[in-house]
Amino acid sequence: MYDETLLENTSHEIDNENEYTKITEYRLDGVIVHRGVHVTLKRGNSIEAQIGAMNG
Amino acid sequence: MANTQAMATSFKVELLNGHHALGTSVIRAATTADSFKAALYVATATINAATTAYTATGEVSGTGYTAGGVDLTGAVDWIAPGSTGTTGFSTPTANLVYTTVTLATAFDCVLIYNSTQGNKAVSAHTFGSQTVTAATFTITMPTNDATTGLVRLA
Repeated sequence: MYDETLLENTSHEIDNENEYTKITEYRLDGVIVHRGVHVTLKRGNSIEAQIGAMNG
Repeated sequence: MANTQAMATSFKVELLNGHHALGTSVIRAATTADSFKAALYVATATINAATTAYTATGEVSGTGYTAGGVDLTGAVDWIAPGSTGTTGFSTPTANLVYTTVTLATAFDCVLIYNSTQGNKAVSAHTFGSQTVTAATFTITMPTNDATTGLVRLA
């Protein structure tokens, strides 16, 4: 599709307590023609279970 | 020995396996696992704890993206629910992969929902706002354990 020799490839990463994300971009004459993203979630959602007390 | 007030850990796992019906609006007749899907939402959408089911409002759109998102894949959609300590947990078996899409409007949320049971919402997960151009967007699941599993009942 594109002459790869004309493409500028850059990649960068985001790393925080919620995720690690890697982003890969290819530009042709400064215009993004490909931007791929891979998010790795570090944790999900938690429900804290609670029970009540019986009155008696 | 002494007695301890607690919610049974097995109950938490059994909830994830659909074993208990505390109410009267029981809808489960099948003995097989449900099927689930994952839809993406733009950063300006309102997907949160109050979301009860899949909605097209605020969902991303673009080349290669099918409304409703992708199916959870694998031999089974979720790793068999388990427990460690007093926490029950489970995580989707496979990564969520949106192949060759162009999503030009920033998005930051995935909603996992039960497509077998009326598209009922399971959980929403946010991440850094992104766009995708003629490429694949992948969400890799966290480690399936009592600390990081995607759905945990602590």
